[in-house]
Amino acid sequence: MTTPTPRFEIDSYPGAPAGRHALLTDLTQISTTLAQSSTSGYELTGGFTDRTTGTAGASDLGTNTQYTTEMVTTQRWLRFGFDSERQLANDIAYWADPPPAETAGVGLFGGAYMPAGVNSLFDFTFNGPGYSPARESGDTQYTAANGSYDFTQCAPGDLALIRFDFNVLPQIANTTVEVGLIWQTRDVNDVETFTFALTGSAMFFGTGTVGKTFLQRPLITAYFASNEDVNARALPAIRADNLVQIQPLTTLSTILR
Amino acid sequence: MTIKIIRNDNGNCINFVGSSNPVYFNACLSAEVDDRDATLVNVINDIHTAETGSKEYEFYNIPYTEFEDKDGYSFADAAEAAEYITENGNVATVQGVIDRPANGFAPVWVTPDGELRAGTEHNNREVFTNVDSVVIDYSDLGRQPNLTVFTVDVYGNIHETFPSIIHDEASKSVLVSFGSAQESGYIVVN
Repeated sequence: MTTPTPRFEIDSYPGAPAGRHALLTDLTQISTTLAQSSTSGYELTGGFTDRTTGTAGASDLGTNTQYTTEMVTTQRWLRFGFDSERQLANDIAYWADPPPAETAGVGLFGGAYMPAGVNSLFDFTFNGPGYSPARESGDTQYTAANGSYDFTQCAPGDLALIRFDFNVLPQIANTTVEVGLIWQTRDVNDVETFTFALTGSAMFFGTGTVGKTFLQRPLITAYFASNEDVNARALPAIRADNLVQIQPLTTLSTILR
Repeated sequence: MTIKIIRNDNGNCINFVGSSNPVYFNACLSAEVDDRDATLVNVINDIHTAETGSKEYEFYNIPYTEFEDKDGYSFADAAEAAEYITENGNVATVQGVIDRPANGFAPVWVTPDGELRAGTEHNNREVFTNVDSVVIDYSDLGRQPNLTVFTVDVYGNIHETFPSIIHDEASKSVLVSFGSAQESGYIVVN
């Protein structure tokens, strides 16, 4: 008795196109699905609105942004938005080999190392009424900022690793600095559903740190459980219990699959 | 986030009430107006600065409007705030100075009001009070004096103690420091 050979029935699902066209269509879908399910990638940018000096990837200093007394008092998050002009000015490749890709509107690597099926991880022009303006009441307060990380070409099941690189200068001893993403999930119609701070570990600056600059590169993770997560808006932010000066430098957005 | 500056005599320290680092010993801080922005105040840890050779800060680039004096009044400008911090962070402690004559080996003693006396007025059982440190000028002595220090405990008992003794060859003086506590006792110089 012979064992039947397994067959892939291309035309077997309802509405499937017939014949060779069906084969090509399905192979394309399979290829795309496989690529999206197996290829991780990343992009980096220094296109922060508040970074008016220095360039991404180089060891340049950034621009001081003051975390103010009012922010301390209200426990308000200071968000760091993106800006297309700053992105053009700051994302300048510092290498020649391999030839750098065009960075405009994408990031320092020009999309060369993006996850499969993704050509944008940053939205430098986003300005939405539900996310970009300041929120100055309630439990989760934050400052106004345009732009957003862009996960809209990702998929549920992906994992985002967001690294936020910045210099911090404590101004008073014994200062605690929190770093996080102001994360806003949105439904399919881009209507916001939940907004919260997705925080990492807090940093503490004790005696002997005041007036000195410390480079920080905290990593914040975010999973995509649903399409509302995929369609989320997000920006890096800090919060502190004392005055601090922050120089936003770069952010690396990595999608793991 | 207002920071009130209060000299604490009991603790011989300066308090920054409202700050996350609110207490500093006397005589270790000074303040300055920031050289790039005349509205900002920097508070320097002088002791740490002396060790490292570069300015070490306890408060950096703080707007003078963030500070208040002990009564809750604000300052007119950064210079006034800096001066107030320096003044209250460096309150002169009770300190005596005595010249040691070349032939004088008599012990010294300190009166209750902090005045240091020498020679025949010495009384080994005379108790001095509220003394944080004593400077003894031995320029006429020709050598460093030997010091024996006695303090009185809360029960009135006298014990030999070992405070910080720093000789300064340049000025031919010796500084006897009891730290932040105001001590009672006497010093034998010979």
